[in-house]
Amino acid sequence: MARPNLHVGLEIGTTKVAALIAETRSDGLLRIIGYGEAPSRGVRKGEIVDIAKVALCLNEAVAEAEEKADREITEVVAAITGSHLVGLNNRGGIPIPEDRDEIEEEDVQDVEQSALDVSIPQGNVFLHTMVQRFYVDGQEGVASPLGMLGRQLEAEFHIIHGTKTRIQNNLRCIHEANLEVSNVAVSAVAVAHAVLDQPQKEAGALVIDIGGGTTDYILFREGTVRHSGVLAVGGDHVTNDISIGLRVPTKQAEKLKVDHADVAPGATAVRGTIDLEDPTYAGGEIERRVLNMVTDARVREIFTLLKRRIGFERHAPFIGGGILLTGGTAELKGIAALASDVFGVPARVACANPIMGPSTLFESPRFCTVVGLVLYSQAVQDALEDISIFDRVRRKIGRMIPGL
Amino acid sequence: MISLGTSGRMASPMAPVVACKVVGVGGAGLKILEGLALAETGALELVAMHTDAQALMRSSAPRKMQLGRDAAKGLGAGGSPALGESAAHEQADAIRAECEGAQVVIVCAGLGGGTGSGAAPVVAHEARKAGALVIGVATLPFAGEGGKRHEQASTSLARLGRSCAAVLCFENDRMGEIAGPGAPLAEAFAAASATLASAVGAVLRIVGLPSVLQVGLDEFVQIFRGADARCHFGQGAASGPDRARLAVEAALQGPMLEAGSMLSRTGNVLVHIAGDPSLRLEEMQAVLAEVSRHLEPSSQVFLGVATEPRAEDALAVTVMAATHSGGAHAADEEFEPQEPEVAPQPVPESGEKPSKPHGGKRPAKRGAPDQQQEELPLDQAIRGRFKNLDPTMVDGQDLDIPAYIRMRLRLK
Repeated sequence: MARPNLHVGLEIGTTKVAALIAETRSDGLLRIIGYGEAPSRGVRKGEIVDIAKVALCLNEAVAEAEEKADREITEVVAAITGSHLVGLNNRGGIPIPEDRDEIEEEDVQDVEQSALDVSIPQGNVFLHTMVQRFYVDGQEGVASPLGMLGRQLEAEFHIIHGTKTRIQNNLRCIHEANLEVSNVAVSAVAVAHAVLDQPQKEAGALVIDIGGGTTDYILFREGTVRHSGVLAVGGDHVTNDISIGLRVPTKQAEKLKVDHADVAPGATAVRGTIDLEDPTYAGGEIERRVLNMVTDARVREIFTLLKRRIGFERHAPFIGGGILLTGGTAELKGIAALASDVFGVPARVACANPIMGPSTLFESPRFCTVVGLVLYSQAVQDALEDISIFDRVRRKIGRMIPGL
Repeated sequence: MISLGTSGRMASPMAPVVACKVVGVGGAGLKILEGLALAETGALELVAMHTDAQALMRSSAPRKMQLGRDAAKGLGAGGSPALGESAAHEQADAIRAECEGAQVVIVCAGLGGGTGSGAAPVVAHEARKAGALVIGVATLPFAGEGGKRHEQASTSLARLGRSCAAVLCFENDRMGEIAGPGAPLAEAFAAASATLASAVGAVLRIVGLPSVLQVGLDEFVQIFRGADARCHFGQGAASGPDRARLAVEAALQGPMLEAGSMLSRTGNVLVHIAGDPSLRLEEMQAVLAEVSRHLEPSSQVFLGVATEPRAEDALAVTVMAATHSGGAHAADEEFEPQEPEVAPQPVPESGEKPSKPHGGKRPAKRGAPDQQQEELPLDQAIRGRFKNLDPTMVDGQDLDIPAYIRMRLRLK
């Protein structure tokens, strides 16, 4: 079979449905060739509530991307989010079979299986198993145990699981649009692929992706995932709060949030008013101070909840890379300052690290998930090929050197 | 307190304190019995009642009764509650005789079809005439089963509620979520039946077994009274040094408790702990602490503790609670218009039971829960665009309510 050289990321978000087509060039580099997006309907808090509506938006976004890329796509990598996702750390261990001392690929797979022996709610499925570190005969800090000698192999993993039915809703929706799903990735994992490189993961970083309906987070320490999760609160909540607090319709509230709201520390004391320029709105002017108070209360709460959930204090000394804010809500004015204020470490708004393609995709934090998805898809494919190459090489050498 | 009768209480450690009988009515009722027969090997009195002679024959319940030999001629009730009802009336005396001597009769049925919807209320009525305290266990049809079945189900539920001291009502939709949307209907039904059987098993243990700390039937009835209550249930067991924490966590992961977040929307909660005789006080406290983390301060916990000598090192935790359809649960709304016999009472003073037309039927709950009811309409109003969605509950707070309101910020 020819190597599939197209990678398609598909994000069904609460605010937008986005499709991104990338191709692997002959030199192995990834190039983005088409992007399409449609306003999302039928998604609440990151979860699909109306499959038919979402399928329409999906068709629209995919058609746009296909047209730009001048390709037809058949399969996609889908992002999964929603408050049903749970991240946990677990340790697995296996004895190395009696007839040999050397650790082989299959032992690494077995130890991964043993780590999955945790009780998760009935009806939940595993989505990711990410290795943190290996221990050979109790010795810590082995990056890759392959080829090492030992009697006992143990490993710690970060595992993400979620409710099967909710994930199936996503997949069903994509099938409705006549597309196959080749792989899925939890949104936070995808985003991390877009904004972090290995040195940054080694230094430690917390990525917070605030979308319309959810806030997805993932924490790296010493190069590996240590914490992840989803809070079903996002930019829509900010808009809703503004709409209720200032008694304006949702559309106006959205505009106030995007154009005027400022959550930088101190912004809750600013003077001045905003003219809504809407003759039908009787209230006329909005006080900036009040708008900022309402917005600050919500976003500060999101950060405070995450800080507590993650138990951030014990990780803070190991987060050299600071906090990276992504997602549409990361475009809120002053949000980086507010994040550093709450977490006590430097924070910045992050866009996807540039690869070849239209530069606009790397100039806004909104596109991190889809860019991350194609990078994830490529990384998975590379890993699969690495294994098979390793297998092939080992078998060859094995025939030449007796006893291996 | 309802008199439980203490005869035979200490005769054998496993002998039920209360003489319980479980009656399964109709197809779904029989399935619940099957689940029970598999799970509980003890001396349970299971009685199967059905219009369908074939289905009855396949049932492994020790006692069987064919309903409506004349009316249904050994076939099912064909989805007609009227036929189911006349079938049960035909055997009314026999049903009553069957229930004689039992202190508690649990009537299990799936509502929406013919036999379950039609016969179950009659069975409950006869059981009550026989002098038993009747607890109903009912399931409501899947949304996909159509409006007709929903209508039949809600009519039947209201009638069942009149003869029962308490009705544990489950929504198949919620339980079916376990099986997944892609799953065949049969699989979804099976998942629902299994959950129900374990719920009935838990009820039997809670009210039936000799206990260190007994949950009274009155307390039990208090929680699940009223046909508008929807039952939520979770169960977990664990062993080892950390068993208390593990068991309660597993219980809160139950299909209907939403990782504990559902509890913040319920009034009173029943927590039952069953362990071996080595059960320690700290373990009990650990379980209670974990459960209370999810509760509103005004909620009341009814605690039951039982020790069974045969349970080896294991500790089982059952959490049961009810939400009432006045609450925030959107799925309940469709049933409200179908109880027209209780006219909404004019609200005499602002703030008094604003959302509870059924208030008159229910006895005043102990303590604070009524205050909680007053807050509900306000919450609904300020959830804005999220008002029809399941709330995002974190640490007992509904995060869909604007942050500035929960923080009590003054905007002016």
